[in-house]
Amino acid sequence: MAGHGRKCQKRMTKTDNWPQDLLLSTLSILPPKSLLRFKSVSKHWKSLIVSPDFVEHHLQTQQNQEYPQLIFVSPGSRTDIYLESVTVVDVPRVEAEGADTKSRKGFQRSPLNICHLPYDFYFFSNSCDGVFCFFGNTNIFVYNPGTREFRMLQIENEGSPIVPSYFSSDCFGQAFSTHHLIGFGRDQVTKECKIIRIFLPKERDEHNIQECEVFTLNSNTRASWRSIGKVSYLIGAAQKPVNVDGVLYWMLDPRHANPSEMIVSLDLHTERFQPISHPSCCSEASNDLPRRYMGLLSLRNSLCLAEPRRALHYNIWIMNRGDGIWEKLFSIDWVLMTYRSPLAFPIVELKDGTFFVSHCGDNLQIYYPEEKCFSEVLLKQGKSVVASAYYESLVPLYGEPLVY
Amino acid sequence: MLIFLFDRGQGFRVRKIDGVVDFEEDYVAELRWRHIRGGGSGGGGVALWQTIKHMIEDGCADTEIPLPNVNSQTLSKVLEYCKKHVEAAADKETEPEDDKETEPEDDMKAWDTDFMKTVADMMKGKSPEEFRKTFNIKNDYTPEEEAEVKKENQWAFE
Repeated sequence: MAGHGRKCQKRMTKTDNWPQDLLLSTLSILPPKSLLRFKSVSKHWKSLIVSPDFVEHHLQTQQNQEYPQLIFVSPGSRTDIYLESVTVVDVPRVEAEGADTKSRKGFQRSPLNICHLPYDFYFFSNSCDGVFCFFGNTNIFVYNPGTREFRMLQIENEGSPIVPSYFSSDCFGQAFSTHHLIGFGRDQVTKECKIIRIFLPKERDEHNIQECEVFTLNSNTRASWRSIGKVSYLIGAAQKPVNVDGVLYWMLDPRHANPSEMIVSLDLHTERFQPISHPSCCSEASNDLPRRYMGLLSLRNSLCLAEPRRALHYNIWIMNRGDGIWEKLFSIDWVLMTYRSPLAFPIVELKDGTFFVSHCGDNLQIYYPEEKCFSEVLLKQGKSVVASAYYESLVPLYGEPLVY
Repeated sequence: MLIFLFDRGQGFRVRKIDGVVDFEEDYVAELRWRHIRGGGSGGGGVALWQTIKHMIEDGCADTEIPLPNVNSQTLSKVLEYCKKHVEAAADKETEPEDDKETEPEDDMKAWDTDFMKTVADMMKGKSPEEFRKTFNIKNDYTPEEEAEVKKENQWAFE
């Protein structure tokens, strides 16, 4: 029996024979913060947590969660950006509320400010798989609030502003630099993060042909910008791209040579631009409803387009991913707009088909598309901010941890 | 084969019994070994489950296996898991192809998800040291390496 005992003891210290699938599924539920801590458990655990397969598995599990995290961005000084992350949590009810459930939904707010940046004028571009991209005139940085990883890049090839005015606002009322267009996303084949920059070269001709360059965020620390050449589509200034499944989309400028092309896509793997179909409303747009008030957004993991109507509402169109056919999804009331600027539009669709919207970039509310009404104000910011939703991820940037 | 777990006041004990089990007062659960997928559960339960499985395979469990350092919360969760899988397997056996109304596979999946959530909640706030202890993992870092990995992810320890 003593012999058996020793044998048993030996088996007990072995950990590589755990049912891996179940263990990985359990770990993928955990927030990145816990997993970063568990990297110091053992070498095997570190390699498991940073492995590309686990990073994807974790991301998919997080995206299935009931509520995403929200992030509110407000520009600070020219060296600081104020970020606030908001998590939906269960809050115990006090008895006086007299409801039958023990808890209600509440928000947990935590500041995630980024300070001491190189002096510039920063704008929030877009986010993808838990990573946020910000850009100034000469600096671009990416930040993963889940892992607090940060990476700063410099622009090497300065261009001239895309349009003469220094600032402009997009169709959702968000101010943008007109210096260049910056997009961020992940190559769905290699799973690498890529930053796309579209700019006008300094020595431009009268045709204003834009050029495009890419920066791939991989372990190569000596990586630099790589040109993918001239863009044969005139992309409208001051807009952030919409990212759906490794493809970025922009609206084309009304001055684009071929008026039947209105939306262009860039596949982050093939790095090729291609025009795509557009909803009928785009071609019908008349002078008093200019196309520049239309904007792209992403809902249900599909490309959507917001179309302002004179009758006090916005139509939301959705593109079928299979055949590229657009159809009207629903309309949303003008109530959300202030000074005719519809900053409010959906941050994110929730699993039950309702939306988190931020009213004038200030108040967070839920919009019920069926009833066409809004919930009470859930969260008040007190200042105008840009809101975005994300799921925490372990997506690596090969940068540095951000020190607070 | 049936396994028999019971509490003797000094931690749980497990006994392997072939044949039929009498339902004694301290009976906790019966498990049909072959139905349990991969022999796994999760959290502290993974280690426990593997321990039991290996002890039995190694023939250590001819009589009784002491299970020190196992709290009743972990054990009851493991047993609940096993029971659920045994029931699902049994249902499948008795009603082989009639999955129009009830879908035991989906039900099982939902239960597993719920189970993993519970285990993840137990793991979430643990320190690496507690985590190693719970999962019986050997620390193969040198002190310098460990300090380095911790330094890289300093904020996660705050």
